[in-house]
Amino acid sequence: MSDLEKISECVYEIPKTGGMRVPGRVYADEGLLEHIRSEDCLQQVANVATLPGIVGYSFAMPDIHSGYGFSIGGVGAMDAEEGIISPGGVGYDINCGVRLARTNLRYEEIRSRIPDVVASMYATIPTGVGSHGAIPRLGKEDLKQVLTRGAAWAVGRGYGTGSDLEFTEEGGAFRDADPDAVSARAAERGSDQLGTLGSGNHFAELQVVEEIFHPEAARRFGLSVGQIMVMIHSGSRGLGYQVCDDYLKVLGSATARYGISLPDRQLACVPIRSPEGQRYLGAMRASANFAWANRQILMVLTERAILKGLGISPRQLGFGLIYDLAHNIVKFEEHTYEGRKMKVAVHRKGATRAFGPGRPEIPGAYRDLGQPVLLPGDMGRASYLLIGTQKAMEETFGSSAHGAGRMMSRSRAIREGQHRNIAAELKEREITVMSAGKKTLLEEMPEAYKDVSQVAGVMHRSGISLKVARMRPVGVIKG
Amino acid sequence: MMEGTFAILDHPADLRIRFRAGSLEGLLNAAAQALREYLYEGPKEGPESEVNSTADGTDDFGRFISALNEILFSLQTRRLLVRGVRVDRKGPVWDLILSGKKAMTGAAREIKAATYHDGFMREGPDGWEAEVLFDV
Repeated sequence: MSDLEKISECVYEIPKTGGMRVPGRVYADEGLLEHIRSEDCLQQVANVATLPGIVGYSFAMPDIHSGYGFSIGGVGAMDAEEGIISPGGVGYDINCGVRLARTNLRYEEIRSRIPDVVASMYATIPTGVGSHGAIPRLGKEDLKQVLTRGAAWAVGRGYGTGSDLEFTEEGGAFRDADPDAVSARAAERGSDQLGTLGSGNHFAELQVVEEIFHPEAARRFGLSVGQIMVMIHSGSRGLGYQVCDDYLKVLGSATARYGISLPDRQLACVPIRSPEGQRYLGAMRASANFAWANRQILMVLTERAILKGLGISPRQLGFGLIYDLAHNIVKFEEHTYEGRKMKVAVHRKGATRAFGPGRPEIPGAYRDLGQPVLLPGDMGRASYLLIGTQKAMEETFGSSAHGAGRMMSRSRAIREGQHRNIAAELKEREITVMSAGKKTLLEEMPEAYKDVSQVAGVMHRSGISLKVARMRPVGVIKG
Repeated sequence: MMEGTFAILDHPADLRIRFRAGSLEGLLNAAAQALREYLYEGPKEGPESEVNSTADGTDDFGRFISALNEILFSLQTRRLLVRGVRVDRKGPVWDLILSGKKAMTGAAREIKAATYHDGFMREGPDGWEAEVLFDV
């Protein structure tokens, strides 16, 4: 697909052709487009544009790369009355997301102790696939409570405080979750994985604030240069993966019954108001609640690990959640499109909500600023904190990018890195890394990802999010 | 038991694998080997075990993907190091028997699922061939 029309410096359009109901819109610059064009993700953006009920555009964020059905970095807003719901627009890792917490620690004061802290984190936080940890295998009733109450369940068990919920999207739980719509197999996959990080690109990181771009927002978030931050990336683990797989089958066999023809069976979908659609929504929300509980526990485990690693008091550490957001999710939101107020089901797959100032969904402490947008990068370069904007509300249904996006295959990364010691290379750059899987560090080497600064730059220049701060990783654990 | 081959192909974000074998059962055995080797790094092995399972779908490719997801579930959740796959495909639902040793240590890596995206399974003059994208 090469017929992109340049709309502005960082916005390109895929014209409406064939079965597309709306055009595609790609947020990128020339540098990112070169890689984007080399994959099939633009075709995926066009495929999403064929789905019934899609409003406005099929969007691609600057970190777009090839996914299943929807591309990773894809956004589609479906009319809540007449539109469809698609598990392929959420992804396997339902409510995969990121949280960012601040500390009172200064990098220069703990620089020499970071290896101790990372070792403490690695010993405390269950990583990898078969890891077991702080939370014993959940019984049926406990799991039902997790699926219903989300992060509040974790807080009730001593993992964090009520104020953490205020700074978590949806308060850490969807209200209309349906635990009964989650299969026994999904429950089995997830019952021993609560409070575990998972493998692949999931991580817990210590970061240092390197640069402030928006002093007022940074002040309000409590950030300053040289400060140590904690970023966590994880999701709903095997439970969410299984829910997605289960409902791809259910919806896949129902799609034709509703007269919907698809260019890709991974886009299996049904009308939102159908019984199958409602059941998937209930299961997706339950999985999302599991993920919020998971990140809440992981954050507190990280806090405890830092306290132990440094031998300091909670008061000295001054740990506090800035924000937790989902980047694989569908949410029902009110938006104004072409002057008309409407309710839409916004599918964000590898994309984050980026609401501008004034929206009631934003925590009161930040409401006049805009929603914090968390943009994690690779383990060698940087991550960003940004804020959502009114422009994002007007252009992208309040959506923005979610990360760097891979640019090198895992097999190529292993081939190219087989004679390298990634941990030692990062150590030379004063980044301490520990990982459960021997090949994980090769697969996750910094060069395997696009430079997240390019992605943040496009978001900033296009105005769909504004840069607040750049952080550099100094301690990383991976599954 | 093993009669097929597999090759891991380049994919920017995930895991794309090509399987070839003289039979469909061979394809599934090749898949079991590929997935086991990807997920586990020298696991400590326990006693032999066997599980019965099924694979369903609206067509043969759908049932093949379903069978791969059954193998993944056995490998990752039940910690069964699947070395043998027997399949009975007399009806619209395939009956599977998965066998191997139990893993006494956890998997080193994770696969979320076998996907339907941009994949195929076909029987040709030289045998069976399939390509599948796995979400990692």
